[in-house]
Amino acid sequence: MRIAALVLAVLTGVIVLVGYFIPVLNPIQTIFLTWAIILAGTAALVGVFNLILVHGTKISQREKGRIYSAILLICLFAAFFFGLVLGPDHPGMRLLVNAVIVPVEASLMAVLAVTLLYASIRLLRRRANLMSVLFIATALLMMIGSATLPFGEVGALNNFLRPWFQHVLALGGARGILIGVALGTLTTGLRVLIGADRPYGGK
Amino acid sequence: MSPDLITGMVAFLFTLMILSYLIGDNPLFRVAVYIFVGVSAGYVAAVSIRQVLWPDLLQPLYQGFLFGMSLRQAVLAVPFFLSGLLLMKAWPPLSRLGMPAMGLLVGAGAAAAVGGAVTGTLFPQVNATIAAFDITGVTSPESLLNAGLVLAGVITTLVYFHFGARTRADGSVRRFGLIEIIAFLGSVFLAITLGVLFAGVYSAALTALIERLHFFGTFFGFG
Amino acid sequence: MAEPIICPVCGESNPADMEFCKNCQSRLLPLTGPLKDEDGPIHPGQIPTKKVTAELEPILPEWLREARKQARQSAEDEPTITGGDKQTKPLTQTPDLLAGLADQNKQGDEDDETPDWLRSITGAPAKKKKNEQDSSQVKWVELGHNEEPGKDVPGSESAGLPWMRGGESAPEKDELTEWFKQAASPAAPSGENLTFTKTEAPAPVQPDRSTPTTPVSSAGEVPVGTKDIQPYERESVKDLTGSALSSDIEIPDWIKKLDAETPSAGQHTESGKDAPSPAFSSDTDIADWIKKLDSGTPLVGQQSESSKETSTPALSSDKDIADWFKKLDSETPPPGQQPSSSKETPSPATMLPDVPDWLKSFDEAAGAGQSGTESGEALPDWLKTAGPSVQETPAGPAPAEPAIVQSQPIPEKNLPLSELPDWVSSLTPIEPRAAEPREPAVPAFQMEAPATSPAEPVSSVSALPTEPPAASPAGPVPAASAFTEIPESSDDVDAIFASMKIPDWLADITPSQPSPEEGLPPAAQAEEPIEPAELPSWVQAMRPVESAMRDSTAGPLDSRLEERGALAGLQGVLPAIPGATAATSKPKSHSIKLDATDQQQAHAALLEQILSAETAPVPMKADSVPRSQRVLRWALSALLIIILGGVIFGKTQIFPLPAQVPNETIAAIQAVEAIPADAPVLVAFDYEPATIGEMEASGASLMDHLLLLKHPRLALISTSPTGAALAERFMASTLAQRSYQSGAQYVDLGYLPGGLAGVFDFSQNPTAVMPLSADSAEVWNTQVMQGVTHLSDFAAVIVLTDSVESGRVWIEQTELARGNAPLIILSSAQAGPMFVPYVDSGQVKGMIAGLNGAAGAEQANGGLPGFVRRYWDAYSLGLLLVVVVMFLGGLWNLWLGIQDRRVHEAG
Repeated sequence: MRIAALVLAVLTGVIVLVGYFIPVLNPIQTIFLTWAIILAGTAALVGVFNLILVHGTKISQREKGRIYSAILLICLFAAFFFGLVLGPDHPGMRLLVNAVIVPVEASLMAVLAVTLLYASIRLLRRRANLMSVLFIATALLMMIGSATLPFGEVGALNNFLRPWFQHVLALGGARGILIGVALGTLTTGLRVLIGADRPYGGK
Repeated sequence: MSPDLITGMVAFLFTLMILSYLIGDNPLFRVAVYIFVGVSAGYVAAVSIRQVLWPDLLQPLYQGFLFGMSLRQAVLAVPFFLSGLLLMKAWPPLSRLGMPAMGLLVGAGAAAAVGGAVTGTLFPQVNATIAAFDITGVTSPESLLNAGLVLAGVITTLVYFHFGARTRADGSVRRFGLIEIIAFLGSVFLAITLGVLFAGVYSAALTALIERLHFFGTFFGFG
Repeated sequence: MAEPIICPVCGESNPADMEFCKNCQSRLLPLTGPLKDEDGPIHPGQIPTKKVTAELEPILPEWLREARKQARQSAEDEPTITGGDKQTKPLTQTPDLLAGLADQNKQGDEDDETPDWLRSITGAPAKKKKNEQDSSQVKWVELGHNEEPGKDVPGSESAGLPWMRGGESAPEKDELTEWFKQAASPAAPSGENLTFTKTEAPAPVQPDRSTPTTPVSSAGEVPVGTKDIQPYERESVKDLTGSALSSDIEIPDWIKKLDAETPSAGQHTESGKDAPSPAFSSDTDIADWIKKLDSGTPLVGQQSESSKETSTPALSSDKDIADWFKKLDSETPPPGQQPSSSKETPSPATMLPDVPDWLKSFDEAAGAGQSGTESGEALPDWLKTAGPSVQETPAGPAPAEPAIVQSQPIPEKNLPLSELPDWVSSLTPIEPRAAEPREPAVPAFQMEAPATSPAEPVSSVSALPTEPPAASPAGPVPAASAFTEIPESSDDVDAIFASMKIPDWLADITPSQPSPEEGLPPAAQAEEPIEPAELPSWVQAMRPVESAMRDSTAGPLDSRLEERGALAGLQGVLPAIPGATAATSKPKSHSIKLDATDQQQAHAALLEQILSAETAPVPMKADSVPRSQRVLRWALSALLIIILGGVIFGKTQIFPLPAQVPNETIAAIQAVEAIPADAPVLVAFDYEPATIGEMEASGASLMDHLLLLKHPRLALISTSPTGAALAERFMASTLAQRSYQSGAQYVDLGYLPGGLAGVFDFSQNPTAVMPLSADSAEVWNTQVMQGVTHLSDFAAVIVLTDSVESGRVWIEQTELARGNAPLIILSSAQAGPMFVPYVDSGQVKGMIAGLNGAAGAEQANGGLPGFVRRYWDAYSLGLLLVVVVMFLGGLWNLWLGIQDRRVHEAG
């Protein structure tokens, strides 16, 4: 299996990569990419099955919190059943999304507002160095610059300082990060393509 | 009772249950999270089957089985077989069977990432950094200064991620002096960038809180 | 030239090429190193050969290596221990793995069962034992009368009586046998060896060796007997009996006096008083009590003897050899020496033709026991199970003992159990079948109640801490191997018994071979015996060779050789007869304390701690949050919710929208306005429900502007599974004013899996990758998607995303296939800063990030649809509030942090 995985990974990678620059290979490239899309859809199912196994095990072994696991599995099977029968685009499924998924995720994000504030306050107690101060100061500056006052804007802050920070200083840093990420992606991808790295399980 | 009202009530309950975490961890919060995970997983599974596997794989194979296989349909036997192997990964004793399918996924992803990074980020961003100094494009000394700062930010940030070092006589491991200085400047740029990002993240979180509060107002007729 | 090999058993010098002793037929070389048949399996019942595993030692834990080292050290030292040098030599023949723990005994555990008299014998200072009274009581029970021996002789302790205990603890046994060894080394070249003569007391009792001793104490008694007995210990069982009481050997005076004097048990103490020694007379002068002891002694001996006795050759039918003496042979190693080494001493018994009658009676009793074993009648289970071990004697080279015993007819003696007292009969698991009438099988000590002392030497011998006979049928080879480990003192014994000859009758002794059915318990006979497993050689190598060999001399409870079942071939795994002695005597309270050094106990404690830490549930850290922090969190939550909620519920519009519109927003508006009317536009909804409020507010104005101005045909797609639902929500609610209908003005392509590979594939061939809509309808040949076959056919690509990664995927993967179609990013504020470089590079034509960016777009769209305005007051006020709190809180915590560091540095 390791050899098969390695061969498939290298073969697929080379064909897809070469297809970027040699249009003749596009049909073959598309075949492999279509296979990858299908497998990605299957991978989502694998994740769901794994979730079922984990919580099913917790229930069968009567572990702590098995009630929650039972609730999870009930909701999972119900959503899966109705989603499979009715279809995800069914109004009923949209109601399910709007009633459960959206409020829960949005509320979790709202909780983050308090948590981040609390964490930023305590940051300087834990790490009171130049970078922390600079980080907090920049954040404060950007937030002040993003808001307006009841009587209007603080011109220099809203119209100059904040854009300058974001489009000059932060641009340099962000671009450096993006280029660094691209270089890292390039290195890692090439290692995968030559078989040096085998994150698919071939060590 | 209209479906929208039911949806609103359920959403209101779930919002309350999640926001109760601000008081502390409690069963209501846990129940809400577990329900959310279950519904999301079931929904994702249904979407994967209904919108991916069925139209792209199973239906063509089924039709080909009924009405004769075309070449395109016959080729789908390969992802069908690989999908079967990939499903084995959910069962630990047979998880090794999923390695070839994962290999194909990783290979395709790695190639796409390499191609996209080169054509979509590396070359364009380097080119953009250089182009800022194009005399024909420079409209003012201020823009030239800004371009210089951007270039400095890019270089110093990249240098910051250079971790090559040598061992000194006293046993300490340090980077070169020049690299150290540039890396310090890079850390300044990074701190500013991350501060900007943090402000954005907090703005997003604050907006989410506002949206939830607005939902409360709407639900109770204040919105 | 190879050196001659000294037989470890008889001391005979043999040529180097000899494998077995030409004298005693014992194995000369242990089966060490490569196995004789390396690949051949061994059979259960076969004593494992010694395997050199020294190369494996480095992988052992340090404490185990140390323990083994101590074991080896003690094994090397013990043979050289002489006389009184080692006062209290730990003697327990522990298994190999625990060999190093034996030294723990040196520390004199309070729980040690070694009686004081034994301590005094070995020279160790007598300790006041808590259970001293109990010890006497045990003696009393065995003697069958209530008289306290210690009362008879003041100052004396139960010297001899503990010998009679069947369940003597191992330390006691070993100390005593060590003392025997000391006493039996008169001919040792070392001056430290004590010679037990009539006038010389053993060193343990007489600190000053130069001074002629007055053998009045028990220590003075026993050595004399020991002198006779000790050689037996070094010889095979068949040698024991004859030598013990042979007339050829000088009979000490105390034995001669034994006939007339019957000292009490109290005389066997270290009190130093003139306690009359039990005088073993010559073959002509045998005290009546000894004669009476004839049948009783073996029984007593059986109290402490395990079932191995039935499997030993000593229990075979040698009528001239007392069984208990055979047992004694292997059960009583000399003091200061490895028990196994005792067998290296050539047995003078083999050269003693004359056996006293009283000893013959012993023999007959034992023979009766053996015959009982053979008959299989009335055999207890433990005894029957021991029987097959004789048959399972390995076919390999074995010492001569088994063969000799086999050739000898087994005398039978019927000893009715009814004649025995209850406690004796309970001790007699065998049904005696004497071939000739014998004296009543009544213990002498029962007949002569006060005269316990005379019986003591005998009973003590039988009840002494015994070592498994080296010549046990199941383990003759290892016994011989064991001898090779401790060759000391064999020369000494040679010197003593050089003139002795092996009687002919001994040469013909062969071990009895009871049938398997006889040895098996009834249940086992009825059933098909478990087929002995063939153990591969590597398993053999893993077996505890050292322990197995030592166990052969360790003690009665350790010498049982498992013959069947999963433990077949192992020795000393299970106690042979648990509770066999409990019926007649007070159960011996064995120390259950593990002999372990402090370091080993520390290691064990550490291991236990580690294991417990692995399984212990880890408390949630969330519960350990200080209350002050929780209060702070509650305060912040309340502050935000109350203020923002008040603003939202009040529908205030105090804070104006920013007049300054970001450049990227302007670019986005321009790009949208540049899209041709009624053109196809691809819209990717790549955000999660978490940011739905911000994303709808950020994207609504520009999308509304687009729909309002250009009436584009939209194709919705998402790389998130929930994206399709969010897209439908966006179109149905956020842009409800535009009344776009699915299938008419837009199509929902649904979920595009595969991440960047999927986006790249879609960019290369969208019609093939997403042929159907989310509701499984054909889309590319519909009116909405008319004329669209490639990505570049779209008039624009608009990506609504809250993630840097998903936005970067769309930017990178559509870079080549997008053509002239502009890419517009509608982003969350958290991802906006990372898209600025792409906007700056021109890859992204325009971007709206967060509410701040959307404010300009909404203003450009005439304030529609108004989401930004709806949120703006709360948003601005919230930001200002957060800035204030963060600033003040940051300063406060900075000061606290400085204080903490000062305290930390000061402390």
